[in-house]
Amino acid sequence: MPSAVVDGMDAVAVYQTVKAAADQARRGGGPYLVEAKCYRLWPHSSDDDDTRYRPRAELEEWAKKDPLLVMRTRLLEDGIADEATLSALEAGVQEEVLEAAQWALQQPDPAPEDALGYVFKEAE
Amino acid sequence: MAVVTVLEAVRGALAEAMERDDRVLILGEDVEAGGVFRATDGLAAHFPGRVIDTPLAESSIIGVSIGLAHYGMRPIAEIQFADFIHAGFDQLCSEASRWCYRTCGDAWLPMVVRAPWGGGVHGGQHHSQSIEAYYGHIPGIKVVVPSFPADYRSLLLAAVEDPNPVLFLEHKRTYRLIRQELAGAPAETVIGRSRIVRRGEDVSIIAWGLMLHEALAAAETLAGEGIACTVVDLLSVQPLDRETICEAAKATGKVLIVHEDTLTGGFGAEIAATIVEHAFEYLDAPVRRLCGPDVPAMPYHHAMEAFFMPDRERIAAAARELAAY
Repeated sequence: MPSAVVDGMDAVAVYQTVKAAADQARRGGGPYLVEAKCYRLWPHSSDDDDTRYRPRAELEEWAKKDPLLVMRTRLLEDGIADEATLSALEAGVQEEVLEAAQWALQQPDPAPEDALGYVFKEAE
Repeated sequence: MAVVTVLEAVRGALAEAMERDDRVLILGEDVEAGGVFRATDGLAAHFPGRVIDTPLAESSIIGVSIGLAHYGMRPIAEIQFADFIHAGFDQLCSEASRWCYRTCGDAWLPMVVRAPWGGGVHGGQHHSQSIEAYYGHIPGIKVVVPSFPADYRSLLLAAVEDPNPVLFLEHKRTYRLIRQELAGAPAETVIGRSRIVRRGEDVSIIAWGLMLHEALAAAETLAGEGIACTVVDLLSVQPLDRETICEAAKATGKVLIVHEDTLTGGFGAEIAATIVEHAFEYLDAPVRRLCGPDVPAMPYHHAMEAFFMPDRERIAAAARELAAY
């Protein structure tokens, strides 16, 4: 079976590798194994103290490869976007997320017995 | 209409469903060639491109069906033997059953999963299983267990039209054994209803699949002895028709539940609990269960297989004891 190892923190590299694999499969070329090397930058959950099982130095090293930073650098270096555009984009997204969270917090709680609904879809 | 077997009723309903609706397609192992039981025989030629062979991977067959249903198709997945479906249990239990619930009704999955179940075909430990208790325990999935050809036809068509996931169980021993003239035969069109197929005042027997036919044979024998039986064809375990179950219990005060599945945690336990909760004052005897013994699987040896499965003689004997109680 053909296979490839790819930097899973680099979205463009992942796209190119998976596209080649998927194109080949769609042409009838059979399965293709892609190993994308990734790292989880945050604890597994709010209950997970990841300082117990991984050194900070390791985390800091991988944090430099944060896919968002990698993409940001690439966009700047390739001249696809400038600093002002990216900063405005980031601020806009941040605002949108905060607004959505604020909206969600302001919604009334559901009635407890709403837990009983939607088990089955009614026939039309 | 003509006299048809269970298998012919299933095949006919599949063709009818595909004829009615272009979105209906069939997927499963070897279904293009007709499948091991020949349920899809001839359909690939008649409906080109709509009968699709899959790899030997039940989780993928069911997972792909979820995707197809979500995108507006009406998949009918065939699981070659019900015993193999558990590889796809997570897809049914953790995904398909919750699609509607998780989205507050914004999304739903009109999909059918067909699976031949049950013993009596010398199929051994991996081709004889009853699975209704596992899947009947999952709210959000309908589980249908017909017994007569007319109901196989009408309920399979109802399953395809249902907007929810339906597990459609076909008793493999009855595929060629049970025949019925479709014209004039009662045919349930609503999933979730049971039917009283014989009425008598002494003992009520509740069964499904092959056991329903054994129960009817036992009832005939008992009638000759002056014991009149009510017999309930369960038809569906989820939703469960508690009303008809209790009606049958109240009619005689004595209930015998028969299933091939092993005793402990079998679906008979839920039926017994229903009767005890809702018809207790009408009972004249303890609710009795006649089931497969609590061993891991149906044995291969013919004598052991026969020992495992309840049959008309044992049903009659249990009903006699109840009548005399």
